[in-house]
Amino acid sequence: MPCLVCLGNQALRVEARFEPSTISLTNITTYKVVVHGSQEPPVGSIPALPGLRFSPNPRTFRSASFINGVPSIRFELTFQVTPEHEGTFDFPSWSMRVGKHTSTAPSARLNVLPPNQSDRIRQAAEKQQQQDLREAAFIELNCPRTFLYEGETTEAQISLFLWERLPVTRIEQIPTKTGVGISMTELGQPNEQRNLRLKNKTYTSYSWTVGLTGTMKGVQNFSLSSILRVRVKAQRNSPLQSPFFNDPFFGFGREQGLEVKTDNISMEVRPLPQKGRPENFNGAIGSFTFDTSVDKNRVSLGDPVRLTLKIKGKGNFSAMPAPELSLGPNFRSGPPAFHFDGASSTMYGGEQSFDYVITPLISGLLEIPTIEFSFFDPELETYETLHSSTHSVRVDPSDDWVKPEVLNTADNSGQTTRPTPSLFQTEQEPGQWVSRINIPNPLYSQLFWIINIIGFTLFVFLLFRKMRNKDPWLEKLKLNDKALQVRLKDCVKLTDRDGFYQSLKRMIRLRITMIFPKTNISALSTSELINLLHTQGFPPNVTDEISQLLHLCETKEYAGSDRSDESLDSLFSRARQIIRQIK
Amino acid sequence: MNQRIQRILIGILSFTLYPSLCAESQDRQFYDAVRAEASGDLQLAASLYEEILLQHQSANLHANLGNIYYGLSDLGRAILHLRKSLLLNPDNRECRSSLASALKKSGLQAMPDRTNPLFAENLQILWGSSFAVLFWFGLLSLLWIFPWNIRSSSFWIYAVAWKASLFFLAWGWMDCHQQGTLLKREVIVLSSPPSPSNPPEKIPLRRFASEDSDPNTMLTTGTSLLIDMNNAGNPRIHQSPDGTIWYLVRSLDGFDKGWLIEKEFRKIIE
Repeated sequence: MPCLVCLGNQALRVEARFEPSTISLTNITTYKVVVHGSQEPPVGSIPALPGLRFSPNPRTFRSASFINGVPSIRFELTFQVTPEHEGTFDFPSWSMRVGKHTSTAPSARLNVLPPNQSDRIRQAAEKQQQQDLREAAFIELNCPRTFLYEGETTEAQISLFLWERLPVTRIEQIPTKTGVGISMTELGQPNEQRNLRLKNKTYTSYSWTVGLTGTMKGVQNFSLSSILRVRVKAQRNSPLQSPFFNDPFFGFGREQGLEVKTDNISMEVRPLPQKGRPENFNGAIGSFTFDTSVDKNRVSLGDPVRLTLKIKGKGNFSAMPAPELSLGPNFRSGPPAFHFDGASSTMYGGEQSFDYVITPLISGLLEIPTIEFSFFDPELETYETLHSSTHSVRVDPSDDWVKPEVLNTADNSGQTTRPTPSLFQTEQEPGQWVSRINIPNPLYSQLFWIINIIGFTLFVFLLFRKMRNKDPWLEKLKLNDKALQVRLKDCVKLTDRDGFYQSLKRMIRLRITMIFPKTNISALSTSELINLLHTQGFPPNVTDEISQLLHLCETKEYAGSDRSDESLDSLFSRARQIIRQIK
Repeated sequence: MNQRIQRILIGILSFTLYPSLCAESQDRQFYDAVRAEASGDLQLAASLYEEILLQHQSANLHANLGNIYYGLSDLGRAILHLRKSLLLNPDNRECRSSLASALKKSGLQAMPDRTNPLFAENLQILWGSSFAVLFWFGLLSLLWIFPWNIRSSSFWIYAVAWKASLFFLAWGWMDCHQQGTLLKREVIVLSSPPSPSNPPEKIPLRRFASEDSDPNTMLTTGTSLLIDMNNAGNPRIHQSPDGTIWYLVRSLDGFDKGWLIEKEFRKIIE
């Protein structure tokens, strides 16, 4: 770095040239600007020259060298340049700012020659490769309609074709739609077809059936794209940089994403005609048949009747509201229950049922009035109105229910009747039936046992894992500890005082190491060890004992004298008691 | 072969449709009872409801039946069925107020809220499951977060907090369980159905298991009592030579104790 600083006194000089300065039309060249005497990036703007296209992001390069013993620094900017037509291009000089100085890049000349035979062959090969790539994987949309009405739903098929030689490892992203104005239902499981012959190639196709709905008026553009993961072999030296077609076996190297995209698909969404629109039209578009039925023809007053409206055919079932009922004063109706039976993914073809529960309000032979259902037929481009057939329901009178004179009749017949002091309104519906009244007990509850089983399983798993993941360093220390214990016993047996003190000291230090695994115990003196034990909360009587034993051991080791008159047996039992407490 | 398949299909269909068919029959009977009640034939309505009760029960059915017995001035049965209805649907405020009215009319004290609603018998699963979750969560945390580092103070704080929480949940669970056990032992005193000529009679709580025995006290119909249990957890009963079964019962406050014949009461949870 100091060397580079000392080179800063070199005079500033700027060079600019095309490399190579003569190319054919199908090739590219580079425009190189070299600033000698500075390593600071120049600031300025390259003038635009019609017929030449400069890459927006130049490559930069800094260098420092000694040429014939003279120090030199420079900064290089390299633009990729693509010619758009033949001819001679005189690139003008342009000024730039380098640090605090202003410099001028000299003009440069580029000769662009017409393409030669080999360039034409290469261009053709590139085009062929692009075409091959488009044929190797492509998406098709088959829609029976050329235009849609606003709110109309139609069924379409999206097919993804994959050439059998294309080494696809997986479909990373199933076809998705880009563009607004037309909505598409979700794609479910594809229908797979193998060994399809198209354009002299064998393909595997994946097809999805979707529902397309026009949501915005006007010509709507959208496209479909999918991403595949393809196994390729990189061809770094390939002049075409195509990883797919240079290797006859497509390689066995890395995986690469390959986007497969359709061209822009245009579809017109037309507004629904206003002419002839029925008053009760509520957005149903398609081709339908309409039918109604009742579950009972004879009921008692107050009993419900189920009226079912069935709309069958093809159309926008997902956007179809329930037809409005106008049953007159004799019936009362509630909101309907919906049920669709058909292609649930597209909601296009099938049967939509609306179940209304209606309650007759008077007795007698009542007639459920005709119900109307209007829709727009996109094929015929007209509005249609269907009428249901009428249904007769005999409602038996429940005069006892309301008429007080019936009570008198009951009295006359000798039945025991009393004026009913009403506690609360009698419930008309039975509610949920149970076989018996139970007090919930957790021991008979699945939830309780599932929690316990999960808890127990996790406990066993953790315990097992903990046992497997024992610290090897700690295990090694424990083994050493055991070995030292055996050695201590042997020393006592053989009355080897030197060995005993040595082993005892090592054992005490080993135990302390286990408590403080991050501390280098061997580097600490006895007093430091005792302080360390104090900080960990060991009681003073234990630390005193440890201190005494360590001093005894060190005196024997360094002074060679044994001041203790204690027998090895009593020392051993004393040491054992203390060592037990070092945990 | 075809016949065999047909039989299997019919068998499967009958098996699957049987519950819905049965449900329809009890629904129909319920509606019949509602109509009978609306027409003023309370006896018929009560007998229809009682017939359904042999197989099925529902909160609304017990509530309606309690209402009918109230109308028939059989307050014991009215209280019994209103209590049962509340067990099945504790949130029915109308039913609760009806029960209060029935208790007031029979001269009994309003049903006291024996416990905090947090420790109601129907919350046993919640308490038990919470206990299990906390137990395993604490154990696993001790194993995972504080791996055997018993010298750290946070370990002890955590362990004590865990034990205290476990103790609280166990206490709640046991309290709920005790409420459930008491409810299983609870009976309602019933008298023979009253009529205009026969006002509701009082039931004697006898000193000994005999018709001739002096009563300890006279019980109002609708009174709640608890069946006494022996050490094995079974009701303390006595069988007379004529086959009558006597139960030893005591009042909720425990002051009154005596013998009742089986037909003089009904359990809330049967």
